[in-house]
Amino acid sequence: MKRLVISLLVIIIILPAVFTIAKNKKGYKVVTGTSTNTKSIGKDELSRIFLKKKHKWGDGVRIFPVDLVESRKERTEFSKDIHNKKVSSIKAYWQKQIFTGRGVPPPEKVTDSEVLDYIQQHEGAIGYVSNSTSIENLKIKVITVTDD
Amino acid sequence: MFRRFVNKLIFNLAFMSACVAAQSKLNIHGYFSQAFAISQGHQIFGIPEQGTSDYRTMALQFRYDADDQNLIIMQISHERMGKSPIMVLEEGLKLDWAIYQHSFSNGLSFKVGKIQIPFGIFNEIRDVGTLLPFYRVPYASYGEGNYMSETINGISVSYSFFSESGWKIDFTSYLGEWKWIEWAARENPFTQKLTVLVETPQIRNVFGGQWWFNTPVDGLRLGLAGYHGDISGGLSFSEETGIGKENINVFHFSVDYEQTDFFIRSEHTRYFLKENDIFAFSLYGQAGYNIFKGMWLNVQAGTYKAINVPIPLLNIRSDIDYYEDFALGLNYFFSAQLALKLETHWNKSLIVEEKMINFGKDKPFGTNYMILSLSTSF
Repeated sequence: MKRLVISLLVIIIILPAVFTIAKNKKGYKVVTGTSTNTKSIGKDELSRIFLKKKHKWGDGVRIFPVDLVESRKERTEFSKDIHNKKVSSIKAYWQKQIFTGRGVPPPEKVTDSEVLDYIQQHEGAIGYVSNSTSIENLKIKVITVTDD
Repeated sequence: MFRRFVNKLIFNLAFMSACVAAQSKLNIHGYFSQAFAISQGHQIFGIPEQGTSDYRTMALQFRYDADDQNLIIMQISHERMGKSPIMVLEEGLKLDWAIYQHSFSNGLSFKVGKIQIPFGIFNEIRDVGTLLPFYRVPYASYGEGNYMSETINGISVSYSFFSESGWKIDFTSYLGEWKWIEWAARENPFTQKLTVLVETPQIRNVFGGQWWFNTPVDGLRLGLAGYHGDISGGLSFSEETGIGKENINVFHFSVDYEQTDFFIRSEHTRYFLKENDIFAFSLYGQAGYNIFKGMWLNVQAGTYKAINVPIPLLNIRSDIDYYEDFALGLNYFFSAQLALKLETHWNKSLIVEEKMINFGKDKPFGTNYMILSLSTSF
């Protein structure tokens, strides 16, 4: 009986925490080259980087953000999570930038491997790929995203 | 099937431009809107009562980023506005704008060339159909070839203050000259036949600017713009037929609140013609709500009035209710880059095109018109 009560208590305490962790687990991870001197980044700063409002890392290296195409679910999640906007709103933002001559959007890649290739080819590049995509044996690292 | 075809077309165009971009520093973008429009009552904005599909805008933009600091952009465009009198000046394909831009490391940048004028919310994007709630930007504030130009031949300087803060201020100042387009229908007293005169007054020594005050409230910004210039020539400002040379001062206020599922905005413009003591103002409001998925319901109301206008033929001065418009529109976005719009307008104005207007005598003419358009951009 005592065992059953303890088991129930454990389940009651642990289960919600497990669900919370599962719910908060992102479907994407933010990645950059191993040469980039950044271990973690705030959501606001990350948003500014992908909207090309911030152009350089702290050490002066130029930032090259790289996006995934609209059809990828990680793009939808990234936009909602980091920009707090729908992908369509971000697309509209870039149309305004383009046709006012203020800027062009980051390149959009279809696959994770294209994103990883881009990051390896461009010093200072940053992107995001599916959580399940392996980055082993690549000169790429994962950056932790914080809530500012 | 059609949607698939269009999506494929957009994809291919985007793919082609991406290929070019990958090989060089060149980016190619563009937009296209095709409409069918029909009016009831009078012809307005080139829309005849029998309808027209000779109604479109398109542009191709070529952008070359030489390096981080130097940039050249050229945009060519094509526009058709049905039977509008100003179409006589419209070339098949024209240089829309072309600039060289240099940016300094401190954020200051300057442009030279044929520059888009930053004026209010829409002046720089006035033909990009996928960014507009209605086919046309509000006439009350932006005119159609008159009152405001899309571009200026000259230079501009831009700078952003407090760019890291929520209270970021974007400032642009410009200097140069441009032309307006104005037209008037004249009736032959013997044959009653109409002749439409189209002229281009010059606005010289223009000095103006646009301030955008961003706020920490996401999507809320306030704008303040204005310019000063010397107008001469054309129908209204020539010494022979009009009121003569004028100094114009224009002030423009904008409030814009945009969220993912709705927007609300309003703009107010005040025009002062110093020499002839004429004052005019325009005001419009616009709101939209995302009903479901890609479907948006938009409303717009606008007015334009001129005060103390000299009427030489009657030798009087008169206040003129020039323009009033109420519009309702339904837009469906297949994607952010492909939109189908249906809009209807109830208009009372003195800009109807198939008759001679007797200012000071005629009351505004009532016209309803409807536009169905498809817009895309890449």
